Amino acid sequence: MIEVENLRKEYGSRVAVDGISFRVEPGQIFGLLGPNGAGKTTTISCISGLIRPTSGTLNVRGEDMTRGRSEARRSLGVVPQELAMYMEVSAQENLQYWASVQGLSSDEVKRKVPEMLERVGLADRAKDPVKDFSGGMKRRLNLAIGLVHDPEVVLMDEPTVGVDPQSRGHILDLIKERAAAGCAILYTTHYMGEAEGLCDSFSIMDHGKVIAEGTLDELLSQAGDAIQRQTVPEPSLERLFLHLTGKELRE
Amino acid sequence: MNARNLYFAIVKDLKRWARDPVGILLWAFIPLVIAFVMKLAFGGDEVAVQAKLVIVDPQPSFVTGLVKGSFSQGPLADLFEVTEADSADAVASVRAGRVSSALFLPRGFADDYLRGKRPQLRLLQNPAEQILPRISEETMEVLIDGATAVRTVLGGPIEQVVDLTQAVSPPSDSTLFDVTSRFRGPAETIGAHLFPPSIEVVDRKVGEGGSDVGREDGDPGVGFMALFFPGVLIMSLLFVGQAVAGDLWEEERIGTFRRSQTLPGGANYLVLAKLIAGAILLFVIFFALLVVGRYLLQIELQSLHLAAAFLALTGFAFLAGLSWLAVIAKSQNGGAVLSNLFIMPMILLGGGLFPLESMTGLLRTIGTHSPTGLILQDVKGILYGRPDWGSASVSVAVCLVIGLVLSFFIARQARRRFLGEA
Repeated sequence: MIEVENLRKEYGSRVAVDGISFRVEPGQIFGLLGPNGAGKTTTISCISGLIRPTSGTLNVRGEDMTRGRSEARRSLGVVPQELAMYMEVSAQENLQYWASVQGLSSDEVKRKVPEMLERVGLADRAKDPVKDFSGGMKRRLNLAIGLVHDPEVVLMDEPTVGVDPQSRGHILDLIKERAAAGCAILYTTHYMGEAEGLCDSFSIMDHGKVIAEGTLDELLSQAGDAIQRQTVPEPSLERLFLHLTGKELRE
Repeated sequence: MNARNLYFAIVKDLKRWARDPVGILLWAFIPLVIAFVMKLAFGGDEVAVQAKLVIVDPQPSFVTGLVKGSFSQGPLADLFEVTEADSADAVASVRAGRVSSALFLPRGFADDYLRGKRPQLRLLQNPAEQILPRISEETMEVLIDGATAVRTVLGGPIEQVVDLTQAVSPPSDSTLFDVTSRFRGPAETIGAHLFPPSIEVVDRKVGEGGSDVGREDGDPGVGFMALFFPGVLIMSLLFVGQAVAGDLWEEERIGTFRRSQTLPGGANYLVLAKLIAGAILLFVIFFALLVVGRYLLQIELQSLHLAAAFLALTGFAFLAGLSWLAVIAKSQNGGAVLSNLFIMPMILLGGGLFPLESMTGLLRTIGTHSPTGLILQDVKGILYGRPDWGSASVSVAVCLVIGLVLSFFIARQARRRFLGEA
């Protein structure tokens, strides 16, 4: 569903992404992990068409995403890290707008918007201006905007940043639900516990390169004794992550 | 570009601005406040400027002297600054914008008038002005009315006098007595109105379709606000344009521009939609300002809806220009500084704060040929009953083309600026 091959992105002399490759299948939640500045957001920006890669191939549903405006974008949902929505208008109007510009017919908009508002727990506040919402509510709406058109491929860039546990649980349930429905999900987060419970397989990036990949068990076994010895009472993804990327602070 | 997305984005922007109107309305109505302050500061209703009239008189006579002298008497002396010139200089002065109007008295004017023929006067008006040439025209109409009345009432005696002046032998005493007595009766009746000529300019002002409009004592007629008000509209256009241009940076700040770029059609539609929504917003604001001008400030404004539509359509280019300046800057504040570099000269020289009619020399030439000065000439024509629809149509067409072309460059520059595209 998503195939990334030797993706490279340079900004002048700085290499943000250095020849990474991975593949996300339908129904899979793929965790793209890494510290700040590792190149995760650049990778997602390349796949979503925000920036052009310097080299490499990016296929979504078999279509090359680097060649202008592909039809595959219609089946792409993007949930950005920032709250990309209009604060002056209501949640319902936001969803109606984004659903419409994603290409849904007016009948589909009428059907899907209330469904999605219900699903993210905003039905009772549908007509309130978004500026009056809490951080968690805005995050849920941000997710709803990315999913309202039933995309087959979803790119999620830290969708749970700064939300309370209740909203996080709600968001994660919805993501699992979409994956169960056959959606291919590329997911980035800094919360290792969250990724551990959510993702089927992982790529761990640092300095623009993939430094480890596989399922959690595969990653832990690759790490071998180095991580096992430090594990009390059992290995965790977070420990593995720190083992691989080090403990020094990043930008 | 997807027309459907364009429509939804226009509706989206109009809704956003309607829900949070304070900022934009503030910018729209600040010029009105400035107008009130200016009115208070500069004495309000006094006519602040004179119409410059050049008279061409190739055959000076007693009658043409009366015509020329009438502009230098009483209240007209406050309204007109009169000079004389030959025909070529007069035309050149009008074309160069040095005078408001040129009045051409034809050869044989005096004879034709005295013989009861209908002499043809020609009034050449400065197309860059709307109000002052109108004063000249209205005044000429009043003078002609008065002169025609005199000719009608005293036609017989006048012709008798003309015959006597052209006779070979001097008139007899009885003839002179007869002529004098024929003048005396009617002259005593209308004398109070004739000497000096009865030109009650204070009783006339620019009105509907050029007709006379009565008004109450103390009404200023062609007053300060009538001259200043079109500039208020221009200032509103520029301020609102700056606010709309700043909204592009807002789309970047809140991440909606980036999100739009991930859509199948990209974010290009977002820019054009904002310009169109801005033009619609301008129409609403202009119409509201014009209603205020007409009904609260009691300025004789006409065709409010057409004037608002003209300003909104031409304003499309200004919105695009200001948006382009906003996105070539590296930050929202930088964009505001760049926009101000355009806006301030337009306000100061382009007829925004100071009426073009009050300017002289080079400043006036610059003002009338500035983008806002060109628009002002058309809009004043519409508002004061002298529309030049040909010129207005060309202005609208040119502005729409400029706006559409610029929207392409704005979208491209916005992608570079906001997304770092090469």
